[in-house]
Amino acid sequence: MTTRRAGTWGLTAVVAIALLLFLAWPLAEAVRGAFVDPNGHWTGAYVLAAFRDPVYLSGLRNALIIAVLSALLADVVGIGLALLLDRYDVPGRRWLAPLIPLPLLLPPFVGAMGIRQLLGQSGAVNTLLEHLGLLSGAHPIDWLRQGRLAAVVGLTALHLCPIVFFSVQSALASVNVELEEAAASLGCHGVRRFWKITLPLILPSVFGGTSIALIWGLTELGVPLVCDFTQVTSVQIFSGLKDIGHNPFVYALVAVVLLVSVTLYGGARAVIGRAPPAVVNKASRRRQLGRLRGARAALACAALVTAVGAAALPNLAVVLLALSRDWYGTVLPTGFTLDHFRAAVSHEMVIPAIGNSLRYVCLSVAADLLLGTAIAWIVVRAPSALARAIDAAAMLPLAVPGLVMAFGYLAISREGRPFAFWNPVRDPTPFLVIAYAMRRLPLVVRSAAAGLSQVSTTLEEAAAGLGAGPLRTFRRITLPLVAPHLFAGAVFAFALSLLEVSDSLILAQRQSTYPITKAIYELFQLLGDGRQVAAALGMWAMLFLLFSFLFVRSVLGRRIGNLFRL
Amino acid sequence: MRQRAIIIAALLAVLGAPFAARSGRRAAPPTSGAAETLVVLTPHNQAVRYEFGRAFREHMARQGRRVEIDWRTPGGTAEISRVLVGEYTASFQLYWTQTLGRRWSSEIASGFMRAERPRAAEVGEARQAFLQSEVSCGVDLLFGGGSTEHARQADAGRLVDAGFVASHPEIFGPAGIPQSVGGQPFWDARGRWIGTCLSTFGICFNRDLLARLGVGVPTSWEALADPRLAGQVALADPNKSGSAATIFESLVQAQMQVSGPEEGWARAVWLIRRIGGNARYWSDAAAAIPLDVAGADAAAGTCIDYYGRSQQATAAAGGHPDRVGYALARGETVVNADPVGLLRGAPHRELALAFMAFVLSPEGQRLWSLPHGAPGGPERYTLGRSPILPSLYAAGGAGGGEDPYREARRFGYRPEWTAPLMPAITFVIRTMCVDTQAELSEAYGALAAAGFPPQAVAAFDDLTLVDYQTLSGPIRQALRSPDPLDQADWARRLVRHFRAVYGRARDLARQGR
Repeated sequence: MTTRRAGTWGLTAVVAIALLLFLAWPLAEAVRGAFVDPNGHWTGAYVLAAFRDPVYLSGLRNALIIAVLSALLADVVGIGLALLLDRYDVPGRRWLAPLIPLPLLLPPFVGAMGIRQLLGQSGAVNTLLEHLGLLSGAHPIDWLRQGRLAAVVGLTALHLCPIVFFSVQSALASVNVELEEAAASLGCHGVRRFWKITLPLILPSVFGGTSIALIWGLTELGVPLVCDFTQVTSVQIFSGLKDIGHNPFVYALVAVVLLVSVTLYGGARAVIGRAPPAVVNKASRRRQLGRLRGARAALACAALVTAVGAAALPNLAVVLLALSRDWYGTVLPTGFTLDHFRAAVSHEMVIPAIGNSLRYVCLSVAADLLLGTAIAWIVVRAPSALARAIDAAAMLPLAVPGLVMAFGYLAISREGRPFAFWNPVRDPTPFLVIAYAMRRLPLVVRSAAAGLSQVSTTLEEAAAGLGAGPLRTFRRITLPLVAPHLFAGAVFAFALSLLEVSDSLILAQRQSTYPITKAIYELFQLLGDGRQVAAALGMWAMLFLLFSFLFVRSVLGRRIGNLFRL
Repeated sequence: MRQRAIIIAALLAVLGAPFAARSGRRAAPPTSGAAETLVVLTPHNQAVRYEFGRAFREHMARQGRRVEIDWRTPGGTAEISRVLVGEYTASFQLYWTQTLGRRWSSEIASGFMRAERPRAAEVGEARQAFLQSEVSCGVDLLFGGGSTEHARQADAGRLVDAGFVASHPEIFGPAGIPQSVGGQPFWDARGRWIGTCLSTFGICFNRDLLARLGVGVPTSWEALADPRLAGQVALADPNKSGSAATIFESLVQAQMQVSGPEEGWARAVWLIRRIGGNARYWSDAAAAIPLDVAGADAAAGTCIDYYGRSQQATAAAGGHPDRVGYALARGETVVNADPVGLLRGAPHRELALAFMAFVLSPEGQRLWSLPHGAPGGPERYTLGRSPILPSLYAAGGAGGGEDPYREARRFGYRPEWTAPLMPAITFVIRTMCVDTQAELSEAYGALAAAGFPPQAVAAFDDLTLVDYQTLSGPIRQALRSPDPLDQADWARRLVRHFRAVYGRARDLARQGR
């Protein structure tokens, strides 16, 4: 066996063990409680009982409705925007396009906080309608009560829209323009050309983005929690978490969610696997943007403004709330102040939470870089059936709800279990770092794999020919060439981990260990000006993520969509 | 490149801003390197944690000891209770199987923390072994959560006698804190928990919304059943919030005081269904209610006294004294002692006793009621709560204008009527109102729209499956069963039943019958 082959096997073994220990095992533990009774006997009664329970069934039905509707809405807006910006030089494009990712830069529950301010009974929307004479002050519209499910769907869709947009935008960038031109020369135009030529070419990305959106929507926790929509599976699991060890139905719900998520994920991959060969679909030159004039330009601009405006609405509301002295029964706040920022900074929970988050996230990104690069190297440089299995396993966190993962980590760290010494109640650092790392692993793997596949192996072979060992070759040749990709993937993983909600709410139980998202959630519930202070911290997080995103965009450009590929 | 440099600079500026702003302020007290740590499990909010943590640290520093409190906050009272059950079960299972070498079973798991005499001898042995053990959950004290919850923890064997009552006759003697007032215990006769402050309950309301709806200020639980408040009453789930459970216990007790346990329960169900029919939501967190009322998201909501008073004060401080109000449910509220108790196997017992002594000293008691900044009062937050030391009321100024001792004497609490049934009562509320909120609201709305026609009202008030006999018999038994499927069966049965009941009432109301 050559040194290189031994090294490959060694690396594969290390990666496989890490994935088994911190991904497969917690997942197995998370669902084990659904099938084992307190006496250790196997049983299917709990899952069956969960399926017979009308409340759990309603929760599951609502979760599916939220997932499907929010993914559909995200698809319509995301694909529409991607096509518009890919084909036309829409007026205002330069300023509006960078705002599309805004919903992604805010934990959805913080966005929901802003939406409550807008859609409350005495909120900005009702007040505006009243000022316009469209509504009587005596009979305002109770948007959040009458349309609670719609509010949850809308907010979740807003959050998912950029994922679909970037995924499709990236695919459109690589569509061979000549194919579309050839179709046009044969009389195939407009919607027909899109349906016959463009859509089949971008279908894998559409499926990829949609399935991520579906899974995300299915397991979304923050938005339903803040909108008081409790009859949904994610909230039922969250509420039942404190029953760990006693409530087998929570385990059963976890098993059901995992099954649905993995089915969606597997289905999407199967569809993508049947996509047209990539070699046909390679852009040879950039598309010339069409110029719009008159009414069409105005219409396109209005569509863009509406989409971006709707997407930015929660962010705008959070900014206004953070800066408001009082915002009650008026369209805009009646006064502005920086007091809430001062209160946030001076709150004893906040600075430690920022420090904690930075510590957890830096460590998790370091772990992601090591593990993600190793996996990408195995997949790209040493392809085999095992490498493909590892690749699929590394993508699994996209399909697994954060809740389920957190549940699994709690289960393997209870008293008497092998990881009891890492019990998150005492110190959540190890499992928060692992949870963040596992959740964002797919981003880093895809980013590293994209970089590695662009680096010619001839350079590495030349180095090897000159006597450099595999490690030295990687360090001196490969790493500098893939560094921009790794860096971009790492920054993205960093930013999204910083605002990870599910793991943070569940695994951090002591104030001194809270990360930012849990601090925002705690502040949100404080009496007095808690919500404004929470909004101030949310605004800080939003700015931080906005600049992180702009940085990644400046490195990756349109290839940013590759990060969301399955 | 220049653009990228600007972005990086902006990123670093955002990241560094909070730290830079903080560096100009007084440094937070050191949280590490303390010589001793006290671990406290609590549902108290951050303001209470901050003030008591700071004051106790300073108090101990005066005695030459460096102390820190490690606050554990897994959620509200209900979550804390479930965490304690989980931790003690895991800990005792290890002790039973590894130290004692005995076999573990589901009967032991569900029975060793039950106070009643067990049927199986092995469960009885496990119960005795637990009560004689120093099995620990790694936490010293349970601080806050209400006396009902503390009594439950004590009966389970998770709270133990700290010897504090016996060793402090000056606090618990004739001139000190009475053991009970109006039937409401202020400390456990066996010393396993001790009240530290007193709470009453009432209704917070938004005057603007009430005016718009043409509804007067609600001052009783029954006022929340006014059909004009449809979708406007914010409620907390008594299965998740300790204070919400106490509010519903008050409501049930108040009805039982009028007509005895059996008839009183029927009257309570009548009232709870109507209030539930007006529910805007059933929150997990009781603190969300006054916030939503203040933000005009709900017209009224039930809450603990200091939540209501605090939100009223915040609105007044912001120049809007007429926006939010709070009304005590006079004569209909229990006066609940909010206790502290020593947990079994507490790793820092001596420090825990020092904390108990501090909280019950005049120095600790003043933290509850004095405004922040007042000499001897809290430093940063006004807690607005009623201390338990009667001497502070004699001196005047405590209790936010209300004397909870007077209120306690007015409300004659009969614990035997509701305390043993509380798990069953909250379970019924869950299935009757929380899990069926949409159907209940729809039915109640239809009844109100049709002017409460008699047949529809009779259908709506159907007591089948939740009459007093079923509540105190089969439902209570199912909740105590070691098999979780028994409880699940009842939950499923009740939810289906209530959906059918509300559907029938709605249809009859729409037909005007």
